[in-house]
Amino acid sequence: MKWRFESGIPIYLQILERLRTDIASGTYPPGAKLPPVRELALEAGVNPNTMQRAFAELERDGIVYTQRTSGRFVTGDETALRQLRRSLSEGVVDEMCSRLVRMGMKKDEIVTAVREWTSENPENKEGPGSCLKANE
Amino acid sequence: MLTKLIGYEMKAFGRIILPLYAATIGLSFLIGLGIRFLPEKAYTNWVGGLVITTFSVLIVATMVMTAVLCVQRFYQNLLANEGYLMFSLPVGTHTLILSKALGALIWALLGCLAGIATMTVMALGAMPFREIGRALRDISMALNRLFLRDGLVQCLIWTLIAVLLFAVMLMQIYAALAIGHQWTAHRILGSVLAYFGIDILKSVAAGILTNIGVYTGFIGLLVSQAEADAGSAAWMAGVQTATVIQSLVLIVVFSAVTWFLLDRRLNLE
Amino acid sequence: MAVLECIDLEKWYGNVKALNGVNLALEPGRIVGLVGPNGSGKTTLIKLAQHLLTPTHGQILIGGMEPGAETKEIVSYLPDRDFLPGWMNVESLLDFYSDFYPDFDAGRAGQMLDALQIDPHRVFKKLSKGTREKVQLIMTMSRRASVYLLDEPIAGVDPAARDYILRTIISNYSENGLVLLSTHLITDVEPVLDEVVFLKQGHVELHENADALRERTGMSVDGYFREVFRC
Repeated sequence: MKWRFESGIPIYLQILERLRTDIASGTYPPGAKLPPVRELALEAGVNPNTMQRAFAELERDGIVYTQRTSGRFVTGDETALRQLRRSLSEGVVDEMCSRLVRMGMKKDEIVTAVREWTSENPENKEGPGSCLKANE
Repeated sequence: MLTKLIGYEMKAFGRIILPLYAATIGLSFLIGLGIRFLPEKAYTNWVGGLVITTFSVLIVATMVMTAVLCVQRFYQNLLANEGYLMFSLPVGTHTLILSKALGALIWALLGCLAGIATMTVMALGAMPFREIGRALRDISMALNRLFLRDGLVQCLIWTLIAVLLFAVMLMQIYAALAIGHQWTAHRILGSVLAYFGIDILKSVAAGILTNIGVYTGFIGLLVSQAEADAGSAAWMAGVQTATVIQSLVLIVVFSAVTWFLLDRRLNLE
Repeated sequence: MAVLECIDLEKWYGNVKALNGVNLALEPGRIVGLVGPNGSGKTTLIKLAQHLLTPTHGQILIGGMEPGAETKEIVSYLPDRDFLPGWMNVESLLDFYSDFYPDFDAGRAGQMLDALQIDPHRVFKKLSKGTREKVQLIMTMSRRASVYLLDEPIAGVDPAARDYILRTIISNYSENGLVLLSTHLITDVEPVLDEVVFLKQGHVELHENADALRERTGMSVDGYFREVFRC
């Protein structure tokens, strides 16, 4: 997937967001080995130090851990991953709901709309899961 | 580092000069064979004329190319775009200048050797071996007559002086190029003017020194000494020593000017 | 410890001040963008660091030393023009670099040239302009240097070549090396920069971490640059 960066937002934050999403969505499944910093930096076309900074942040949050000799891995800890999904989905829900409110929808209308959407789109294995979980 | 730099001078000159040497020497051998085996009138027809003309052109081309390369290797390799590479090498400016000067000197000497080789090879083609030995004896006797004393020693001294005079001219050219390089435009013109400017300075300096010599009576002393010694070995030695000292002084001055301008006032564009 | 340091650095060309009291300290392991409009002194600063010019006042130090033969051993420099001898072929250029720079990794350079399918027997001046630029970049980045000085490496190249150049820089600079990269095309290099130095009329207008600048101003480095240098 191509990396794109928006202006005016620190690049390490944008990388962080991207890596969090990739881990939450299972692009990097629990326990998986992550590519080396330099390789990923090259793929993204960013400075290795910036990539390193994003990784350090992920490590602090306990989503990623380093094994001294063999590299970096996604955590196998389900609670940490659930926490990650929740925090990501909170952002998405917050953005979606405030847009809907701006469009003039009432809160119960939003709930109805989400209910309708879930019944029309039966749960599948992947995809827009984070949105559903937030409304469970 | 210096030897590596000189190695690259060898390659840079060699790729142009060596084919010229080979062609000249090869052709001279053919001419020699022609002299030996062909009747004399073979040289008056157009083939003979063409061969001789080609031979002369090759000799002139070799000499001109050697001279051109001596200047061009300094200008193009140090003062034009390649200067960005050369002045980024982990060597001092003096090493760069020295490598150019020694490279040029080596090729000037190789040119002389190639000239001797050309003549020798032509002779080899032209005459039987017995006569070559006799010719060599003749040459050494002629040299002996020419230089009063032992021919070989004198020969070496004059070679040394020739090398020094060549070095003086070379360093004067380098200094002139370095001065011309200070301009932002018309650098070649600047260099040519600088060369003649240096000539003027040299004669002014010589004039001043002569005047000082006359006033202090030093010149008078020398002249009377020279009159006493005239034509003798001592007189010759005096002339040689004076030439060597003058050359060394000029080489030092020109080198210092070149070094200063290249190390402290480099102006690559 | 700063690996490149300028102290009250001034450079005059006749009566024109090209650099006017530059104070700067750059740390190893960073990629630093030296940005500024044409004539702001970028090339002058880089040439001073490589002893191709001498300061009028003040000092510039590389690893604590004044520029000279010793510093050139640890500095890898890419000028903003063709600088390799045109008559040499690519293979003899590799030999040349191996001869003079102990830190030159000929194997790595050879691999990169192979990847571009450049025939090592081709004479340098017969290569296309784009290929010549890539060869020069490969030679420069194949040294394990402490400082890389790259003068306008992406000026006038197409987007594909620009990507190639930036990737080559990121994947080859030694981890503890400083990369100082001058450019007036900031957008293109923004993602690879750790820090930016804005040069304005011969002095340092700003020296900041690139992400910190984006956070502080809410603008891209390029956007902020346009603000600072608005005519």
